[in-house]
Amino acid sequence: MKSLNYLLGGPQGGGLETSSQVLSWAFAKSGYGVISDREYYSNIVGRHSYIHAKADSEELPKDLQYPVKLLGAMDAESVFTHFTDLDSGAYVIYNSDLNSTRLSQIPSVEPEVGEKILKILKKLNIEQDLGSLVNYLKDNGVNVVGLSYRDLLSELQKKTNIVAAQASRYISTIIIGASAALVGIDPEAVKYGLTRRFKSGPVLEHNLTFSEIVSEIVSSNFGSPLKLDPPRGNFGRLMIVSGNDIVAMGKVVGGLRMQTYYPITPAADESFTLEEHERLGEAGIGSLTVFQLEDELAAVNAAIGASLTGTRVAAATSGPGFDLMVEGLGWAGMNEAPVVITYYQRGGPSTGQPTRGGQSDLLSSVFASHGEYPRMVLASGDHEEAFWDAIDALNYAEVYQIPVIHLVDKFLANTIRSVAFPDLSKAYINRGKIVQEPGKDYKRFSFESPVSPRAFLGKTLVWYTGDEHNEEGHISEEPENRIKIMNKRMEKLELIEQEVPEERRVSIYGDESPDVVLYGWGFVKGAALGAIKMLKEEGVKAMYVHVRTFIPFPKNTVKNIYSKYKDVMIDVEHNYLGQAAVLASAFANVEIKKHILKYTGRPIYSNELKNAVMRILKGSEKEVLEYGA
Amino acid sequence: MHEKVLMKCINCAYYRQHPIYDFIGYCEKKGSVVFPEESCKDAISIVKEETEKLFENYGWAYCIECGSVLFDRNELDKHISLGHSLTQKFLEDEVAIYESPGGD
Ligand SMILES: [Zn+2]
Repeated sequence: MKSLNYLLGGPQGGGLETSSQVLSWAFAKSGYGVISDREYYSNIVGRHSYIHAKADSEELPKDLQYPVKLLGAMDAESVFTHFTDLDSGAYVIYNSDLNSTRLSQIPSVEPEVGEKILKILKKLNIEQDLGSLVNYLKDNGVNVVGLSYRDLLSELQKKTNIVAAQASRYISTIIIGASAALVGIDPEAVKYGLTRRFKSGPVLEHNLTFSEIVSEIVSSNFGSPLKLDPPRGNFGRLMIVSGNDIVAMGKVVGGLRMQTYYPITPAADESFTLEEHERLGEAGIGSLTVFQLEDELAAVNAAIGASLTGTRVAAATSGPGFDLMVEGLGWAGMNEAPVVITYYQRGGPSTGQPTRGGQSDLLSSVFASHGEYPRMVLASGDHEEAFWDAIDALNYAEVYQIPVIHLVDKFLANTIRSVAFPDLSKAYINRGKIVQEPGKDYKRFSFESPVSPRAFLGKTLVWYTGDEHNEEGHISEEPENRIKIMNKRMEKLELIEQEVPEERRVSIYGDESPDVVLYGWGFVKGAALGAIKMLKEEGVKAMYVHVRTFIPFPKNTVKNIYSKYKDVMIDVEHNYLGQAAVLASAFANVEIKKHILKYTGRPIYSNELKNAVMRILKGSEKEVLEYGA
Repeated sequence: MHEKVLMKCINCAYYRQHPIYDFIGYCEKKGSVVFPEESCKDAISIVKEETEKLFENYGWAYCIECGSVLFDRNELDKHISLGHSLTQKFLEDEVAIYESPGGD
């Protein structure tokens, strides 16, 4: 097998993260590329969550795919919820003690989900208990690895003294041991993963033993039927990172000195990662400061304050928090204060689907403002881009003295991938036009050029105000001054148009003379690249136009491609309106008429994208995707 | 000759259930993991009056058999009359927090 799509499901808080993390590390240690997406309910221990993943012997995968060949179920709900995701010949690891559990007895099942499953069970003539479902699966080509989790634990308890307060760790290990056996992962790699997760002490020792016991039972009964081909990709040094992690890494490499935030899903993890690297000496000298404030109003204003003193600064938030930052961003734009906002998109509006994903805040990031001010909007499509975008955002903010919004979607934020270690020699820091020794004629907002000479607070007297100002920064609402200072500021947009090359704004993938063109951004990238390969197998040549900056917009490329392929150009996005297509219309004067959209809060899978493209090629104008529990 | 039928852990006053996995429990007396269907010579009955007193104090009780939280006195009586094991105590889980990503 070249690659393995798998899914691990269980109650939130029940050890799913551990199972997934250890398996990812074990795969990576064995030389395989991995990607895993975490889907979960909002902060409720016990609710169903799952991790959908892929391990690949040839590449560092970027797309997620159904059906899956392996389902590791920590509870009955996971089997009920995901049995329809199984490929023919798939393997299901489950707790056979739960055979008599009926769907209606599981309190954590959402009513709509329960009804949907019940409908399917009825249609297939399956009783509501887990045992009947498992028998149905057996009769229909699925291999069932039924283990009595209780007996396994009970046997272990006779040998050791299970650490009661960490009992769920042992359930994680059942899934790890059984999966590792079926996939034939080197036991040393599993040991590496467990050691990395549990560090030391009795929990580690017990689980090392327990994993071996479980693996032995499973491999002696089933062998290693899901064994992957030997790894063929020579990936070099790898990192296993989430999108949140890699943005934090990019910021550190990019010279970030201060991060402000108020905790919000899915942005907070980035700040938590940075906090782990906060090292401050007695005089406040050290690596970087992470400052949690009382809300996002304070977070953006603290960031602006830091920026005025010459600190390289960013704030991280998601939609509801960004809204609170909008007034502050206007202030920053007017006062030429460089500030980066890392904007993690989740499914809204309001609290919406706080733990689910979306790309529905694009228009908000581009247009949210009181009055007009120049800004840049970058959007990352994968972990590698997120790393470099985080650095670029800091550079652009200071070079143009503007707010820079860096869009990341929740899918990317929460997806853990194996990523090649970045070539750090390519990283650079450009702090822009800084005046080290401001003389007495110094004018902070000099009319001489769009970007003003920047002196830091503490170096000289600088005036800042929330009102419109003159060159010195004093309040002035005089019409002629207003025109001059507005023009000066807004001309930064023209400067950005001239200086940011087209190839920084957009990337083109796939066939150069395609039958179909996909147009997208953000996390669509992985699915689009995966779909291109699948389409090729069906004899369809596809191109993917990946937008990386919305301000400045890659209008020349989009116009050019549209002029050649307008009848086969498809907008692909995780939102309802097709927001990137709206911007193509606004900024490049092109009307992309065909759409593939998904707004369930779940990511687009490469297989469903491929199928939707085929339907569009057969005449459909719009496809709304819905796959995924 | 009749053997004395030993009480199961799930029905014992020393039993604490795992908050997520109902097939894992903890014995306060032994200080170790036990399993609900295990039998034990040291098991002691849950005193009905004690359950009622705790219910008055906490305002809720958890029925281990039904897997549900009871807030209503009549409900409580119903489960007691069915001989169900009611508790306010759970096995302390110190790792669930690390497995529960925030959602706010
Ligand atoms: Zn009951």
